[in-house]
Amino acid sequence: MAAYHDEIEIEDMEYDEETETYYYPCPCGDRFEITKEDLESGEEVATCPSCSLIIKVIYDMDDFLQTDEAKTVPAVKKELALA
Amino acid sequence: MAGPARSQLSTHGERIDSVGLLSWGANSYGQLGQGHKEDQLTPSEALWSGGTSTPDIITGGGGHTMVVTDDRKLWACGSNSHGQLGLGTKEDVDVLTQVTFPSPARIGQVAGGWDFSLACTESGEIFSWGNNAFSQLGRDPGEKYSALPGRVDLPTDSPAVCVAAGLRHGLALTADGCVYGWGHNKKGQVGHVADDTGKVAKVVPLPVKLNPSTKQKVLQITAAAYHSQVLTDCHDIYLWGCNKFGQLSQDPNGTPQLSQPCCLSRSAFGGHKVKSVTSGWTHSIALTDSGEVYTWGRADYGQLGRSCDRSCDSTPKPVAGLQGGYSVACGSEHNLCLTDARKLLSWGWNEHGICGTGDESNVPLPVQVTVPGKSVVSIGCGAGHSFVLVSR
Repeated sequence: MAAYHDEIEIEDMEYDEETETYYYPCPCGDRFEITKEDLESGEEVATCPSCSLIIKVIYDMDDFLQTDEAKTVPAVKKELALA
Repeated sequence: MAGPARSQLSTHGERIDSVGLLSWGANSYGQLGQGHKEDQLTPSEALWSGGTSTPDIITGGGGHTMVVTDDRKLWACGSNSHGQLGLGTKEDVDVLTQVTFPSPARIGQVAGGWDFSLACTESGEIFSWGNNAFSQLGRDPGEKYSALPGRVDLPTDSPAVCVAAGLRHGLALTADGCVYGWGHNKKGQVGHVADDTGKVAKVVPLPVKLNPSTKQKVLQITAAAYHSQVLTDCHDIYLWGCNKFGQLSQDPNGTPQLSQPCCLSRSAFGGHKVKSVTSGWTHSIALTDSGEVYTWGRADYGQLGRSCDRSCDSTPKPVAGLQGGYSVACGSEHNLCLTDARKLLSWGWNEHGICGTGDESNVPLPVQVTVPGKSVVSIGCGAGHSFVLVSR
C-alpha cells in the first residue's frame, strides 16, 4: 500500500550533520529517514528502516538544489541548527 | 505514550506475592527489556533485576520504556539516542536499569515523550531528561539534550501531581488543579502562548500556566503527538492543538488546529461521566463510569476499535460490545484495554506484533490477548510496544 502515513514539513524533521540525514518519529518507535542527497535529487519519500510506513516530505526543492558555483548551506538547515 | 497515571494495584487493594512483567511489539532498541532486540508477536517475559521491589507503573516513550517500582524508584531501557533513559549515557540498554536522581527522590509518576522523559516525585517536584531540541525538557533552553534528570521549575508554589509528555511537548498538573505546558507549539499543542510579535509561539521554552477552563479544576492531563487534553472536575474534556484527524472532536475540515481549548462535555458520552481520558498519537479514548470506551480521531489502522468507513472520525462513539472497561493504555496507533473481569483486549496498528495477537495484521475491532499468568493487574504502552504486569 503506497498510502503515506503522513505528510511532514522538512522544518519538523531533525537533521543529523554526521549522517547528513533528516529524521522524523515513526509510530513503531524507529525513525523515518531521508538523506540530504535524496532531497537534492528530488526524492520526497522518507522510509522507516524497521517497518512498512512511509511519509511524504514537504520541502522546497530550491533549498536543496546544488549549483556549480555555489554549494551554499540550505536556508532550512540554518533554521534547524538554531532550533 | 499516555497510560493511566496511577497503578491499578493499589486501587484493587490486592497483595501480590509474585508478579511477572511481560512485553511485546517493536524492539529495535531493546525497549521490551528482554535482553535482546528481537520483536515479539506475543506477550513474553521481560528481565527484572529490581530484586524484591515490584513494578507498579509501566509506560513508554517512542522507543524507550520506564517502570516505577513499589518503592518509588525508576527503571528504564530502550532507545537512548538523546539520553532519554536518564542514565548519563547515550547508549541503548536492553535490560531495565535503575535511574539515579540528583537528590533522593520518591517517584510518583512518569511520562515518556518521543525521545525525552518526565517524572513527578511524591513531594511534587518535576524532573526532565532527553532531547531538548524543541525545548521539550522545560528547562535550560539552548541545551541540546540532557542525559541526566534535571529539575523543572513551575511558576507556582503548588506541588506538581502529574506530568504528561507528547511527541515534543510536556504538560504538568499541580495540586490546585492548574495546568502548565512547555516545548514544541507549532500546532498549538502547548496552548495559546504569544511570542514577541503577538503570534502563537512555535516553541515555549519554559513552563507557562495554561487555562483550559476558567472555572473548572483539572483532574487529569494527556499529551498526544500534537494535541493536549484535560479532564476537569465537572467531567468535561478540554482539547487543543492539532486537529488534522479530528482528534479534538472537531471536524478537521475548516479546523486544522486550535491553540484555544474546545470543550467536549459529558453529553457527548451518553450522559455518562468520563472516568479517564487518554490518547494515542492522533486518536483519543475516554472511559466512562459506566465502563464504556469511547473513541475518536484517526481510524485508518483500526485505532478506534469500531467500524468506521472513513480514515478518521471526530465524533466520540462507543466501542461496540466493550463493557466493563477498567483501564486503557494507548501506544502511537494501538490500544490496550483491561476489563473489570481482567480480560486484556487490544486493537489498532499491529505491525511488529504490537497488539500481541501473534501476527501482524491490523486489528480493527478489540480482540482478547492471551497472557500467561493468573491475571493481568496493570497495562502500559510505549509508541510501538506493550506491557502487562501479571500476578501468578
